[in-house]
Amino acid sequence: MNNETAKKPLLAVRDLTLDIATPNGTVRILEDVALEVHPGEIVGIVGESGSGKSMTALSVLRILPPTAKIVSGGIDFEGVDLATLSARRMRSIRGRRIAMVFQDHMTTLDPVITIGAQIVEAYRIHHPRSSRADAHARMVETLTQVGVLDAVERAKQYPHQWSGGMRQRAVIAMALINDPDLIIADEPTTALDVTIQAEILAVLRELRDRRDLSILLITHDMGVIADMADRIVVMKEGKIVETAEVHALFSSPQHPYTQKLLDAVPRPSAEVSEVAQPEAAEPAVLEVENLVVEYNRTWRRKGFHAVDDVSFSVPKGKVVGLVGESGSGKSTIGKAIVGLAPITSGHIRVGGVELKELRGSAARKASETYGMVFQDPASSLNPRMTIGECIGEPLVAHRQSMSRTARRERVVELLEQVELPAAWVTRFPHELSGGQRQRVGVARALALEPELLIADEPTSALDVSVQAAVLDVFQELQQRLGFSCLFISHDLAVVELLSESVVVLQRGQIVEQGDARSVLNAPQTEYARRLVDAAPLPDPARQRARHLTTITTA
Amino acid sequence: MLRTLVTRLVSSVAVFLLIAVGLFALVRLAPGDPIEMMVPPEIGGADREAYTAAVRERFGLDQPVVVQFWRWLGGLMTGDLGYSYTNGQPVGELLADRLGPTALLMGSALLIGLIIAVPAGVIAAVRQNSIADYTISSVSVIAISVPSFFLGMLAIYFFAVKLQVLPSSGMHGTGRDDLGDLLLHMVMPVGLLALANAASFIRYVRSGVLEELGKDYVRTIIAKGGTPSRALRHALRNSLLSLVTVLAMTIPITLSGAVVLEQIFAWPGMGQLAIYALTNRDYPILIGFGLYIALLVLVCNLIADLSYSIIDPRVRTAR
Amino acid sequence: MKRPSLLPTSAVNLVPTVQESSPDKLALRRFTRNPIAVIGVIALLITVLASVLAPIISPYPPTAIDLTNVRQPPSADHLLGTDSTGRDVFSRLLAGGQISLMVGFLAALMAVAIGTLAGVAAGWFGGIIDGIISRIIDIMLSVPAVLVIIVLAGVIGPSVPMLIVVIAGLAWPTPARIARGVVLSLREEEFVQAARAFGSRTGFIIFRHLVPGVLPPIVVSATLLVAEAVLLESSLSFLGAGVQPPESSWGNMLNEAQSLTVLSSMPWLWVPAGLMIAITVLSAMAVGDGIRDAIDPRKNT
Repeated sequence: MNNETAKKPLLAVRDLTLDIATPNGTVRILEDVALEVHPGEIVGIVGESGSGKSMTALSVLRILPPTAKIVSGGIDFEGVDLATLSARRMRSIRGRRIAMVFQDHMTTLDPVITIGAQIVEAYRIHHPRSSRADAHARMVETLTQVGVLDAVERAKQYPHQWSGGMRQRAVIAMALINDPDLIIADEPTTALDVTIQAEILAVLRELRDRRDLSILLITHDMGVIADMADRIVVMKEGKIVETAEVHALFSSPQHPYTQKLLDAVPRPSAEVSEVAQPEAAEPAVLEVENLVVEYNRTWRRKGFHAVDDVSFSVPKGKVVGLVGESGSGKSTIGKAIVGLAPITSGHIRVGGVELKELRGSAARKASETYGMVFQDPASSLNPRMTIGECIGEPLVAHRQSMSRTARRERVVELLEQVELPAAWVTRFPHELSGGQRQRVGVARALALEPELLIADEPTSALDVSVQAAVLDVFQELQQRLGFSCLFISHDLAVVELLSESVVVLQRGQIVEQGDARSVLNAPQTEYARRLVDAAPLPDPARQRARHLTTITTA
Repeated sequence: MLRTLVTRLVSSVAVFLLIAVGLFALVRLAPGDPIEMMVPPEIGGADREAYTAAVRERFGLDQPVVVQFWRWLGGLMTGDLGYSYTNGQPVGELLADRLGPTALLMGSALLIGLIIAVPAGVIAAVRQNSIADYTISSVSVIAISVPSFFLGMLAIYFFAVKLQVLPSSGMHGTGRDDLGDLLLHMVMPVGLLALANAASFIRYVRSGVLEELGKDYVRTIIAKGGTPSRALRHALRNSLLSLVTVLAMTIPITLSGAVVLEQIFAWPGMGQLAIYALTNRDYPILIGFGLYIALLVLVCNLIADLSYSIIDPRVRTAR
Repeated sequence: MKRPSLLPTSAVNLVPTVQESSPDKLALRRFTRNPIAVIGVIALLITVLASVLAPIISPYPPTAIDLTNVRQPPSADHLLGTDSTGRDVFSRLLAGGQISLMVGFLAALMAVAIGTLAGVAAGWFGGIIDGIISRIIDIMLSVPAVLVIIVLAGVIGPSVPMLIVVIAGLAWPTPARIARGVVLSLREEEFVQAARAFGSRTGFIIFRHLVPGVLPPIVVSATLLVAEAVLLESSLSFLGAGVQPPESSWGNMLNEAQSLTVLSSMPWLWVPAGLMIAITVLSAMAVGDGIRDAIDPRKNT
């Protein structure tokens, strides 16, 4: 498998340079990108947003936006230059020799055609003379191969009837049905939960081993790349900064950017710490008791329990992590605390004040005691308001007696706390990067010096290096100001980095809670163990050792 | 899904009855006495009063309002819409007689409008920002903006007066009722109504196809090795699903255009009858029109709901 | 010219652009750079100005009959000739513009006021309120306005106030649907949720967060509604269900020219009024489209 020097490369991208025309002039997207993929090899391209990693993948299949132009360089596939191939011959390669697996979106598949028909279509494009029955049989066989049970019946369903992970299997089946030599997978598991991600990655790995398939894997996730790739290409701003074998790259990164990238990845510690006994004397700032949040309840039928009988507390000055996959109810708990989700039954107390009974001005008064940082830096600030107005909003709501100048002073102070220049008060959100906007979000949440901060996936939309910087600021502020925090995240490593204790949720219920290190390193329950095992470690040796243990234990 | 449709049906019937009551009330509250206007002016004095009373009795207007309403509603249920004040004919028959010509006008205009709009909209979307796109979009904006009666008069001026190739009005030439003659009479009114329909459909098709072409599945088809026309077929199929709904909702609206064109081209359809009823203040016919509009709008809405839930698998398979 | 392509252009959005001002100012700048929209604004301004100043500019009273000067072609005395009772066509055109534009603007304004309120209420409260309002919007959107107004005019008698009120009553669903859509998406935006979480008052949220977001698309809708109302008024006046003679409106000026003799030999009686309707509607639509493109530069429709 690693004996690649003996073979000729299947795909060789030669010094590819790509421009895109925009209304503001031409922008260089890729510059002198060169990489090789050998038969049976998994090559990973990593980089942050804007690094050009997806563009590199799209240019191999020449499915670029119409304004893109290959300026120089070539793409050799088995000695044929794809960059200059006729449109007709290019089509005979797409889906037949080189197949593509995209990130799962609701619209990756045609919503009004059955999954089976779409996979059959992929086959019949390249085998126009094959019979319907033959194509159908092949479709069922391929679906079964990627782990779809009862493929005959399920193929009759439409994409919206399949879950995200299942849809991704269908997309892989669609890529496999013509027995291609190379699969390009562009963030194939990014939209999926970790446990589903682990299953999809296992499918891809097994296909490579069994079919001697080559895979070009594009991802932003250092864990995924450590798990999957034989060789890694690191990209930054349209250029390749480093290419190395996977173990070499992780153990001794050569380029400073690679080092920075690896340093930025939050790593779970390997060892279990001595279980720190909770200091019982510490009063709890947030107490959640038997909380139930029910949606869509009507007089006729029971609703859906997004949160089902959950109890935990956040001690003063501590950070508690709330983890779980999508649909676990972790965000709903955060919303219920700040009044954005209904408290069907149970209690939420912040600083001893029961929130459930509060209405109107009393509820508004209570909202002074907590602040919230939201997930999406693109939508958490009003695009029509200046940064100063955004941060000042809680002050306007709660400090009506505050003078305009006093408010401005406080806003400047807050900006400095999150390490942004004071002059930015007059800027608009679109002039800031995602990480900067998220810092503004933190500043806004802290404007009233709340006792409790709720952070709902505050860094999940950010690149790793940006995430690291935001988390640094956050940690520093937490230690200095001493607020308590409920940190909601799907990323176990981030939670372990920040919080003393952790609560693991599944389908609205708590499956395990306790000291963060012990829960995340030696989980006691089956689900928590699965969750921890599914998160790929950014360390190829340890991650691959895990496969061996799963195989031997299975 | 069945339950939603049943609820819709029930609420539609309720809305219809509500409109019926509203129309009835409106007529009773309207200023002026239509009966007064119906009595020939040469009859005067006591004769006049007796005459008026006789007419009132004949139309049942001497009864208390509630009784009148129940009688009227009962008639409505059996399809009896009352009699025209001005010529005594049953309103139901009057409307039914005019339905054919109007349906011919609207139906052919709808069909031709679609035949023009779908390809034109697709071309405009696929070749976005090309000369073809700008031409198609500009023509459709102009067709929407220039009032159809002005276009109609221009058309009569050129084709009937100057070139004398087309008849300027009516449905048949004097003493003729062959198909060729009918088709010749249809050219201008149908053409203009079709143009108006096409103009609004083009905008739907263009934006619908553009939106679909931007979706990820189109890229997936190209990545499978499909040709651009295969990708377009998928996008078109997706965008036409919503066009069917729009179409059903648009049918009542095109009636507005038909009324105007019927007036210009003296087309013997419902529009002309409506104008007749307006100028003669013939309340029973006007109420008949009101009910007809309500029925048409509600039925088309139901068809839109129904077609949507049958055609779109996302709705069809939703539990 | 660009090669047509089926491929998505979304990747272009990856390219950072340099911006330095508030979104609304940027939109205004884009609007002023759109030649068609600017021409529309100018044409509309001239029309409005001419109508407002009609009493000053008009060479004759618009209803002054002069039976010695009937159906005269355009001349130095009568710029656009005279009609069948010797009234000056140019003066009638200006007076007609007054009524047509008044109906257009007032009806659009009323429709937007009603529609925005209904749409914001539907979007903000959701649930049953939204269900009822949305259902009404759906049904109203397919009502044939011309026929409905003919029926109403027949029953209660045609008049200008009736025309304004009924057009507004039939046109409000369009802005309502737009306002509802905007509020629905804004309500899910995190900055609105944040405002609620931070304890901002509902009034503050509505005026600081919702109104500025709803306003631009509503302005677009209002401009397009002016076009629609002018068109509707002229159709109805043409049919005799709108503005009644001797008062003039662009629509009823064409009504008086329906006979074949007028049509063929006296074009000055009908062509100017028809052109004025077309120009007014076209400019209003150009302005509306221009504002829409300026607000959302990605949507190139």
